[in-house]
Amino acid sequence: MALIQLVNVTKTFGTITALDEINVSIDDGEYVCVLGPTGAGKTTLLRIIAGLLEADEGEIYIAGKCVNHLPPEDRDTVYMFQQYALFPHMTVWENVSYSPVIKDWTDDKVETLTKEILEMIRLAERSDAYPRELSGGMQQRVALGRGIASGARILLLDEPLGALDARLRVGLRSQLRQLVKDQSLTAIHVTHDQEEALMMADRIVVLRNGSIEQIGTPPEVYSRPQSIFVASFVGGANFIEGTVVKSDDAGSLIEVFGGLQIQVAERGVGAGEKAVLAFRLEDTSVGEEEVAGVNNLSGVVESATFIGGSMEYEIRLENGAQIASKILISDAFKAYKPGEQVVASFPPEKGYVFPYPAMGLLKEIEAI
Amino acid sequence: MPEVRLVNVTKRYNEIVANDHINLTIKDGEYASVIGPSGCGKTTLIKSIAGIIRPEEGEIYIDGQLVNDLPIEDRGIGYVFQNIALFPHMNVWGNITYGPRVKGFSPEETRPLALEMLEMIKLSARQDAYPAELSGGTQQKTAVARALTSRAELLLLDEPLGALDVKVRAELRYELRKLVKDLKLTAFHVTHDQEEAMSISDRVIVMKKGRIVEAGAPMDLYTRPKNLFTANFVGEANFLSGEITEVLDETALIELKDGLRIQVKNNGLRRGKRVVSAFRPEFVELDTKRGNPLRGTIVNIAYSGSMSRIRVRLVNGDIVVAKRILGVKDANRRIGDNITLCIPPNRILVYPYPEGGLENELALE
Repeated sequence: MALIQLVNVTKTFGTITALDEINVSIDDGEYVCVLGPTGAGKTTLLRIIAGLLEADEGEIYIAGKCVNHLPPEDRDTVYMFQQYALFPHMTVWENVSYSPVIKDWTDDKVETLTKEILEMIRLAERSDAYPRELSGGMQQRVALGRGIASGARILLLDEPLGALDARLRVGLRSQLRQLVKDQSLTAIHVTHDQEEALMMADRIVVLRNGSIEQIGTPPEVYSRPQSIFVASFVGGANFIEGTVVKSDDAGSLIEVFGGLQIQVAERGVGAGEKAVLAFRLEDTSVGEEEVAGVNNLSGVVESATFIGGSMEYEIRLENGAQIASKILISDAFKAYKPGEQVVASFPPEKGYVFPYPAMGLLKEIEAI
Repeated sequence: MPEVRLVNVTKRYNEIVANDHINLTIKDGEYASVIGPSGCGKTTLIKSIAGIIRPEEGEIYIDGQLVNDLPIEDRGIGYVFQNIALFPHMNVWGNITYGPRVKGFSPEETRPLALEMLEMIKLSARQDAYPAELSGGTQQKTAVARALTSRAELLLLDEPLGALDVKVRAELRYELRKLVKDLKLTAFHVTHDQEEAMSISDRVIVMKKGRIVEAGAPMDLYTRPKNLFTANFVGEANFLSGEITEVLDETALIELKDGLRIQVKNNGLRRGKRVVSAFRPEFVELDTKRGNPLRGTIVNIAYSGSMSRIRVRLVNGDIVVAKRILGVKDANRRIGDNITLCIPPNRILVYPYPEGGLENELALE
């Protein structure tokens, strides 16, 4: 059942459209990540659901009721900022139990709940500590505990792991998700980190320039990106311009610069039309010999970069195009060096084909 | 291309020793990064090299010259902060020529270098733009260019990519390294992001509690870390504790919990010693019979794009994580499935069991 529903939600700031007719429905108990680059409208969306901002147009429903005119405290939501705002003069216990106290609960009930939450965030032994005595990760867990203790069913999380060290952040991902699931809460989590979204979400909403580009489960968004932008922003890929020369039951045959022909299983673009071919770095293997039944692209290694656990190669193809490949290291792993002649291969079913974008390819994939 | 040499550099804040007798040489033209958890002293170290913080003990040499008493502006360095600090009322050109201008260089002297910098950061077309009109990534590139127009040859980068989106950050890494290498600079880069350090540096220096734990080339640090903390900090690892029960010429046996045994390479191991074995999730193979076959049950499969982490509970209760690129076979695996893991003996690292306990040794906070 849909717990939260946004219907045509639109918000402008001056001449900028921050959100443009957003329609999305979120189920009770779902963990949804809203993913997009800076300026996509993610925080605006979250603040509108929280009631901290008012939409210009459209309706927000929570549990079937239109909440457009309800104040934040009556929406069954709790909003958590990236910069966790704990009360510095209160202990961990006082911070966590703050909300139920103001909601006039009995002392017993507050005590039981607070204990339970401190156990859950693994800070029961630090209940007398003040925020300044805790590490960033611990402070963030206290802030989460306080949010959960508020009794609200909907957690609105704005970059909740953004202020933490990279190594700590990765560890907290599964803990945060588990916490939300254990309490049967519903979470909307805003992030610009695609890996975080892929690992944590039941469903991902990809936002770009105030519009939804795609909604789907992590495997759907990753394996079946509906646009060049999504392929680029979620997971990343090699993109090569070309023309579809044949479209049949076998998929599409695409001719790229230098007469090179590449076969992909998809058939999104008609024969004779300009197109963009895409394939993932991690679907591209590197070897010395051609492999039967797949696309083989000969080239020279330009750079080999080790990124903890995988090797990333930049390869200059014979037609002048540059592609990249990411290989997870393994026991049998063999590293190639810059200057070595190699064959990069990817299977047709791992290739994507998109219509050539009206504003050009670069506009769709540039991040900076 | 200056060399930086630190000799016994020590800095205390009350009872906390932020830098504890640091000895380190950064070679001419080297790109070195420092990583470590919050509070490990990495920021204190870079600020000491810059001359923003004055160490109580030890000497800092830049290009052979003792600089302890030199102010920041005379050390020949460019310093870039996490928080992009461009002058908002100046355009890109004004910002990048600011340093030479206040140092008294004439516009004619400054112009060629400033133009070259703009070319390098691919911003020649945007020299009239004001910071507010630029994206975060572009602003930070401008800040790097500004740090270099004063003819600095040592670039100090203090979490330079920390305030940027993940995707922008990944792209700027390459540009930053290329800039440093093309201009033959020496770079010292502080980050909390181990992946960033790995991909950008010639050498990565790991710090913990004010000391250097280990330093090495990225690949060495990842595949052959000399100690437990590094093994955990520079990437995910499995840790299983046990005792050495048999030592042969080439190999040794470690007995894990409940009598489960694994074979490892013998690098001077002693029988009876309590140890921790560590191995990367990438080296764990599934359903092969080679190496150390260990039976278990899948307890979780975490998806992140093409890679999946498969969490397995061994028959003795220990947890092992395997990292896979999802092939057809792996995509069909389910929680609850029985599985055999294989860990090649030469990929297992063996460390003495830490005195303060394993958890304490690995703690990040």
